[in-house]
Amino acid sequence: MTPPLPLVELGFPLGIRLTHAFNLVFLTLLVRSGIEILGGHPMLYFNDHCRPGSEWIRFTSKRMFRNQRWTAEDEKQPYTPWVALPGRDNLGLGRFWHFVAVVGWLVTGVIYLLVLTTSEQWQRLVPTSWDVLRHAWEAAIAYLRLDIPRAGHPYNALQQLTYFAVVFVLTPLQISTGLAMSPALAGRFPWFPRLFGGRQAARSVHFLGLMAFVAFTVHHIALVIAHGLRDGLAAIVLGVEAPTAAQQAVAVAIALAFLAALIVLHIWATRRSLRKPRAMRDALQRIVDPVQARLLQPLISRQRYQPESITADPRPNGRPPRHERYREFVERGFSGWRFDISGLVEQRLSLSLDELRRVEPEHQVTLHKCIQGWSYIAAWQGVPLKALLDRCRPTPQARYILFRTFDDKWEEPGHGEYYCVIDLDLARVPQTLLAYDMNGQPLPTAFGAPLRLRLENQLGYKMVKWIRSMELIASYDDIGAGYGGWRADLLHYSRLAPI
Amino acid sequence: MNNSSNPRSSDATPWAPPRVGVPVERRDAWELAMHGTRAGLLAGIALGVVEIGASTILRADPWLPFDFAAALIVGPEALVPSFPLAASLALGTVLHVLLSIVFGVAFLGALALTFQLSARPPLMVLYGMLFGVTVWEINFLAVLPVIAPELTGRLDLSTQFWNGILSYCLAYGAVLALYIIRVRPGMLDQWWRTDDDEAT
Repeated sequence: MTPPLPLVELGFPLGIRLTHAFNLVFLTLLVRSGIEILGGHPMLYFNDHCRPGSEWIRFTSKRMFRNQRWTAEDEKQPYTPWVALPGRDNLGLGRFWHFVAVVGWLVTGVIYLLVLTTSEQWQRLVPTSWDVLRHAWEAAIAYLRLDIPRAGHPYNALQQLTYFAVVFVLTPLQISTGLAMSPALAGRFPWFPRLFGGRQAARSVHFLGLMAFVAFTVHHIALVIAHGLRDGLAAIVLGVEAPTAAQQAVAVAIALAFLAALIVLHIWATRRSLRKPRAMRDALQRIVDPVQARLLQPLISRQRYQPESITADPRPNGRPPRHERYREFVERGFSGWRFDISGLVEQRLSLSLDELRRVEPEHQVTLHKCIQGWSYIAAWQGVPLKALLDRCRPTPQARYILFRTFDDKWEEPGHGEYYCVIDLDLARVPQTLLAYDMNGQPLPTAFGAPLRLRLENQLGYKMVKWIRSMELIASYDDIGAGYGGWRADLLHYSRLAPI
Repeated sequence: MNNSSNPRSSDATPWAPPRVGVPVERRDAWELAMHGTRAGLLAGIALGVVEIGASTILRADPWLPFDFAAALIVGPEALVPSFPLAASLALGTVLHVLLSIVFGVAFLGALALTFQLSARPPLMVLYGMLFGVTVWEINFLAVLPVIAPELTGRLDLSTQFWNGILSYCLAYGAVLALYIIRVRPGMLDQWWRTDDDEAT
C-alpha cells in the first residue's frame, strides 16, 4: 500500500482558497437574509399546528390578543437593516437573497468537494483512524489548559473532527432542513419533513444549524488568532505554509481588502434592496426562478394527513374584505354570489355556490404552509379545478389562470384588489381545489368564504381567498405590475412558491 | 371540527387593529443597567464563593482566585507568596466585582436586543449557562493570553475545569439566569401562557 503523502505539505491550493473566500461571502448573505425570513414569523416550534404560546423560542416584542381576532401579518417583526438583509419587513426580497445565496453556496460547496476529493486535500478533513477520537480528546484538554495542541497533519485531531462535522454533517443538515420546508418537496415526499419531526421541527433545526454555523465561525476565527493570525492568513490567502514577513504583510493586506469588499457588498445589497427593490428583485429572480421552476414547481403533492391531526385553532392571514358587495354577500349567506370563468375558453361559465357544490367534490386533509413560516393542518372540500377546466375547455393559447377576488386590501389602500396568477399546468394536478368547506363547515370568512384556492405544492399566498372569478389568459404582463400577483407586484414575492 | 368554536375562526369575534399586539417586553436602558448590575453582582458573589471553595479543595489555597485576579492588574508578582494578602484581596475583589457587573449588564443587553427578556425559564437557564461559558472563553482564551500571557500556563486542568468552566457555567451563568427568571426585568407578559392556562 502506498503510504499517504506527508500531509503537512498539502498546502492550500487555489481552489480551496477561493472556495473558502466565497464560502464566507455566501454564508454571511445566508445568515442576514435568514434573519430577515425569521422576522416574517419570529417564532419557532416543534409542532406543525403553531398554536400561539406553543413556540419554544421567539424573537419579537409582542404577543397577539387572546380575545380579538388577528392575522399572521400582525405578528411580523421588522428587523433593522444592520442585521437583516434587507431589513424593514422585506420578506420577499429576503427570500430572494437567501435563495441566491443558497445557489452560490451550493456551487461553491460542489467545487470545494471536487477539489477536496480529486486531490490529497481530503486528508485534511477525513479521519482515517479511530485514534482521531483519542487525539481529539488530548487536543481538547490542551485547549482547556490554555495551551496550543501540537500540530496535526496539518490540523490537530479536534480541528479535523470539527471541520469534518461542519462540512459533512452540519452542511447537509442545513440543506436538507431547508428543503424540508418546501411545500412542493414535502407534498411530493411527505416522509421527508417527518425525518426531522415535521415541518416546524425542520424549521427549528434549520435555525439551530444557523446558530451552529455562527458559533463555529466565531470559534474558528478565535482559534486562528490563537494559533497565529499572520501565518494562518498567509496559508489561506497565499497558500504559503512558512511565510516570510513580507508575505505575511501581503496576506494581511489582501485579507483586510477582502473583508472591506465584503462589507461594501453587504452595504450595497442592503441599500439597493431598500431603495430600488423592484430592480433588485428582477436581478435576483433571474437566478432563483429558473432553479425552482425546474426542480420544485413540477412536484405534485401526495400528502394525506389523518383527520385526528387537524389543527384546532388555525391562524388566518389577511383580514376579510371591506368591499361593499362582499359584505352584502356575507349578510345574505352568499346567496346570489356567482363564480365567473372567462377569457381564453370555449365555454364561459357562471356558477352559483350550489352549482359548485353539485360538482363531484374532492376531500383532503393537508398541511397549509405560509410563506411567513407558520403552518396548520386542515380538511378541505371543494371542486377539483380540473373538473371546471374540462367544462370550460381552455383554448390552446391559454397558459395561465388569473384569479380575481373581493379582497380590497383595505389595510394597504391604493394598490388595487388582490389577484393571483397560476400556471395552467398547476391547475390540472390532483389536490388543486376550489375549496368551499373547511374542517367540515362552510369556509369561514377569515379563511376565504365563499371560495378559496388550494394548491398543496405551493406556499399559502398563492391560495387566493374570497374568490370572485377566474380568467384563462396567455400572458400576465399587462395585469397589475406584471409580476403575476398582488404580493409579487407589491411585496416582491416570487410568482412561483414551491419553496 | 367546528370552526365556530375557535375564537380565531369565529365571525363573532371582533378584529384587532392591524399590526398591533400586546407588548411583552420593553427596553429601558436604565432599568436594564440597574438589573444587570444586580444580577452581575449576585452571580459574581456566587462565582467567587464557588471559586474559593474549589481552590480550597483542589489546591488548599482559598486565596488563589484573588491572587490571579490581582495578577491581571499588577502582573505575576501577585502570585509570589511575599505579595501582601490584603492587596491581593482588595485588587482581586474590585476586579472580580467590576467584571461581574460589566458582564451582567452585557447579558441583559444581549437578551433585550434579541427579544429574549421574556424567554421561557428553561431557555433562560440555558442562555445563562452558555453565557457563563462564553465569559470564561473571553476571559481565559481571548483576554488573558493577550494581557497576561505569563499566566496562561499556571493552571492545571482540574483547577481550570472546576474553578473555571464549571463555575462560570453553573455558578455565574446560572445565577444570572435565575435572577432574571425571578425578577423578569423588562418583561411585561408571560407570552407562553395560553387561554387555557389563564382559565385555570
